Amino acid sequence: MSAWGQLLRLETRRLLRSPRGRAVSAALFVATAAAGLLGARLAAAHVAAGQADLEAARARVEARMRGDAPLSPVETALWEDTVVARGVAPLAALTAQDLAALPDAAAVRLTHPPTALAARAERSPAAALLGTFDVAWLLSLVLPLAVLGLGYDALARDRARGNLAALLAFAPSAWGLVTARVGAVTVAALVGLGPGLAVALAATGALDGPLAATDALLVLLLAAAAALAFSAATVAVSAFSARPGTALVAGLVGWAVVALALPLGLAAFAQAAYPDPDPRPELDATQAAQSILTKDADRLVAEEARRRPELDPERAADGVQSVLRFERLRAAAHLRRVQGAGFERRRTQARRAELYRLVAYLSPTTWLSHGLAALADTDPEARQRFMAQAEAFQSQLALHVEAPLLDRGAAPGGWPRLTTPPDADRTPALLGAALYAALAGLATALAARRLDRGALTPAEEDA
Amino acid sequence: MIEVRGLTKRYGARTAVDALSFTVGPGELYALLGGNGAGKTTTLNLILGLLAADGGEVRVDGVAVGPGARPCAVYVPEVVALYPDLDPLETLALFASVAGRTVSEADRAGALTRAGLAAEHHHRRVGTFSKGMRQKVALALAEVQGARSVVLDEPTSGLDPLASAQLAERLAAAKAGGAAILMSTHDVLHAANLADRVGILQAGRLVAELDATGMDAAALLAAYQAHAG
Repeated sequence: MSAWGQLLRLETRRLLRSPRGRAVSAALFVATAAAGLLGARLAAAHVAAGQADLEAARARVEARMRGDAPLSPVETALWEDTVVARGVAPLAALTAQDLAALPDAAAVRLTHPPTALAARAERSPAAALLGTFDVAWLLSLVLPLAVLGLGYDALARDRARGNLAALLAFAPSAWGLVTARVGAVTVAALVGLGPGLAVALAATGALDGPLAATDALLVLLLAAAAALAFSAATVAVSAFSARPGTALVAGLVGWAVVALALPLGLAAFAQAAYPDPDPRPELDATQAAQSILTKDADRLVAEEARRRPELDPERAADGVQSVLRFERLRAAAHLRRVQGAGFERRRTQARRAELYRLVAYLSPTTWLSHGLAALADTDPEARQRFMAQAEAFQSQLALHVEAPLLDRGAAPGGWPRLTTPPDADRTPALLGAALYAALAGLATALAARRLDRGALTPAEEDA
Repeated sequence: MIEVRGLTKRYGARTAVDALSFTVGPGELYALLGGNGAGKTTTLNLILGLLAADGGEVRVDGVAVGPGARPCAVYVPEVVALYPDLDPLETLALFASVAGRTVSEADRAGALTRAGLAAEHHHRRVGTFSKGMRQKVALALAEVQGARSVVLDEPTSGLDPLASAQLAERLAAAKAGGAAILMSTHDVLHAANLADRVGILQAGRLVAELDATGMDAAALLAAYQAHAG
């Protein structure tokens, strides 16, 4: 074994023998496994709820199509209770917070048009901080804290005790010591995190199949890279601190800025840059259209015919009742307003998702959560894609129902299905891992340079 | 061999070490004797390259020392903390591997035994050791790392009489092996017993340099009082 390998082994052994090291590793394992198991249950519940909603909606519409009174053209416009299921990617269990806060992640209630709710990153700071306990939340918020707990005194305690001078007396450079300590903190974190993640991934079913296993490996790579970067940053803070207490306070302040203030500030910025449009015009128009379309057409026509004989529907050249034609035109005008408002809303959401994708790279903790969300297909952009698919599905569904009603015969094929197979975007995870590696290299180099420049004792005058 | 020439360190307007010059030859133990604030620890930090000097030069085994160029010397601080969760064999392995060397367990055990640490303690964690036992581990580092120079800061502080006697034996053995040993102390008795030469520090200046061979503690105390009093 090389000298550096031996050093890494001894540093890791030293850390894992300490009560603090054992406690942090064990806590990471328990928390990660628990978050994965809870997420898997949540994702399974969403899939089951979506499937149940889909079957119930289909049964309702089919019963009406088979009934004595066939579905009228007016009734075909009523899709507000139509629910379609969305396939949930296995890795979505790792970002269960998005699922818990977004009932339409598993099932989309097809109002007219489909609506999307904001993802976790787009919601309020309180939602991001106090949301569901899941692996993405754990890794982006708790992993940096755990690593800080493992390594805040990696160099500061030696400096305070005067050990650094003795340790480095024969070393040509501090590089070997610093890299070994970064490695030891990383390994100690991974001793808990790795098995915990394996349990979580196994619970989600993400280990089944070669493609899913590739994504699972990518999750492990991203988590390991994050642990390495957080470890290097912690050791660098320790290298620049005279005492362990100073390093701990500096690390906590850094964590608060990087893991809390920066991501929440960036999310708030994205929200402020593209605020949601006023929903009232869309809701008012929808309500007006529905109010018109749900009127009793026969009663309305009879009343209108008595009141205004000149509009006798029997006199219409095409045989269509004039009043009904008028009402349908009114409803169509309202629906066009609804579509216009919906377009504006979707455009705002798309721009916000794009902005969020860019600002997510400004904080090291969001590299991780963003990469996981892209792998799990729960990131804001994936939701935008899903909404577009849902609208296309809605059109297919309308044609399928209207075809027999308009005497065009049965629609070809069976019931249309909204199928959204997992469409993992691996680029953010790979980019995140590369950024973490770069951050780790930079922090390690800074720490080694600090020691090589002679900062081996507390800066105090002891003469 | 440790050579100090015109070494100077200032903190603002105050001069902590003032044009200090002395030499510690191979097989010699040199004691820097002085009261609190005399500049002993600052001098050692300058020699170890832990502080940047404002003037003068330090050479250890012929190599110039500075913050970017540390000396190949074993340093035994006043509080020998080491790593409480490692045993002495692992401690020696760790220190050697930081320097890029691997040393066999047999060699490490031999160094510990020669430093006075019985084999029964080789697999106990250092956290359970007394200061005297930790000092033995630190002195074993000198042999493992092949150091020709040893720097000790207040080595007898807090040691019981038996541990002090054992330390004296170990230092005598290191001297006999040709090591150049520099120690700081404010303990006149131990300086007289251990040192070949004594430098008396007063306000950062070397006010006297005495040949301590054959000098007893009373004579050294009288000389110290005459120069530093």
